[in-house]
Amino acid sequence: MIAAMRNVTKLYGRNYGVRNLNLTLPAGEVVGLLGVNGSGKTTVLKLLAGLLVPTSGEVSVLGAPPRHNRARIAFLGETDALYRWMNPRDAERLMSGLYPDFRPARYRDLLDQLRVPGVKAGAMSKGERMRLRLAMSLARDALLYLFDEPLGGIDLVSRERIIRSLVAEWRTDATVIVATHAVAESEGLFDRVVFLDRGELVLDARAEDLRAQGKSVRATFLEVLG
Amino acid sequence: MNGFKTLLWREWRSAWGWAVGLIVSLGGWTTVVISIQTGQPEDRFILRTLVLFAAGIVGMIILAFMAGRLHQEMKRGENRILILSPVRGWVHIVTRLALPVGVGWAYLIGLGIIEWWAFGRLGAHLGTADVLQLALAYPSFIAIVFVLPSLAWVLLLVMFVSAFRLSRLGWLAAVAMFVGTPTSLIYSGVNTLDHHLPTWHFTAGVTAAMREFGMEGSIPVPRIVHSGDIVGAILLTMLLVFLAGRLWEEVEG
Repeated sequence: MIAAMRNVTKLYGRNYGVRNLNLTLPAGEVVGLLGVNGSGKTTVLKLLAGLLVPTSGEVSVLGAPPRHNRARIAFLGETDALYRWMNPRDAERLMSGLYPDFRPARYRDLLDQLRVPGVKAGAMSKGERMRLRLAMSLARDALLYLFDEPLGGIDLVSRERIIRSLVAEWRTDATVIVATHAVAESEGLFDRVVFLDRGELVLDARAEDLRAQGKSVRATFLEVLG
Repeated sequence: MNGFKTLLWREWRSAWGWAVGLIVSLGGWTTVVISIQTGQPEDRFILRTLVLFAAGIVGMIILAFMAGRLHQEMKRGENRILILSPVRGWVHIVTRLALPVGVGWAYLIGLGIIEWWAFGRLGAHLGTADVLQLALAYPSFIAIVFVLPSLAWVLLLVMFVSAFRLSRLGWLAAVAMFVGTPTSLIYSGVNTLDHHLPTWHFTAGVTAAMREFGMEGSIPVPRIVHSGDIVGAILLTMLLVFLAGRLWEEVEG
């Protein structure tokens, strides 16, 4: 088991971010975390990353609170958060110094694959910055990868590159969770889909079971949350 | 992996403009000091001393802003890559403290050298020991006793403000506020031990210069400084860094 959430509730003031959520995440799965805006996807990812602490309930990664296992968790947040002065070489130096599982050679391969320009982040487009951040995350040997809207606001060509990289980096010993609105484009990625609505889990299903029923993830999304 | 070295490098990449700007500003202060040419040497001595005192205050404000950049980084989410790393919180805080304190120290020594040079042009003749006290020992004393804990306090405040969504460790807030009271109990506690500790004549250069102009006693400069001040400042800084480091590890993002 890579990660688990047991009866997790997160309150923002009086508003629920997530409510009584139970989730187990074994190794080797690519999980699609799906829901409309405000459904709690980002909260779930941040709880798993240790960026948020639950109001009640328990979150564990590799059997311990996420903050005790930061070295094994790779988180790619939705918000653009790169230092403007940082170019890909600076990013490599920073990641190598801070994360023991960072693989510089793999990172350089990913920069090529994702066609990240060698300029400062401040001079990059949104898509280029996202691709750089993705390369920084995927170049780590983490056991839990958390991607929050990796395709958000990204052009079609960049989306293709990002999806190809996600597929190429799939490992049986790691778990990947992707929260996205781009259901149609990324549905081929998922082994399992988890649907959230207003902070509550409404469906947890294997993608192949849905397909066996003649349903696509997109159609299920519209049926459950539409 | 060397978190400390990497974070020090990151701090330099982020803040070198502030550091260089502050050191270059010494040229500006020198120009201002040179431009004070009217009046008796005693008057010029006072005016030049006041200008250099103002330079010290301005420098301190700039250093506080330099350390306080952390707040903007947290608001923009730039520091998430740092928060998610397994490097301990106090290492992040120490590296953010080291650069402004180092720059502040160099800046104060620069002001000390300008002071010595300006006094020399006014006709003061200081011995080597007095010059070293004036340009090196006294600025270093100010850096340790004033700059170091003040900037550590700025970092703790910034962490506290940024961590308003503090998780489960609300007690830290109370401790932080307690430590933040301007007259720390640590100071008073350490000062009671003063008579067991050696005293220093770091101000000898300043008092010698004042004597040269027949102004000894006109500006309240202590003849000796106490080890208790130095020990207290270092202990206080360590405590502030520890608290800020814990906040760093608990902050939600």
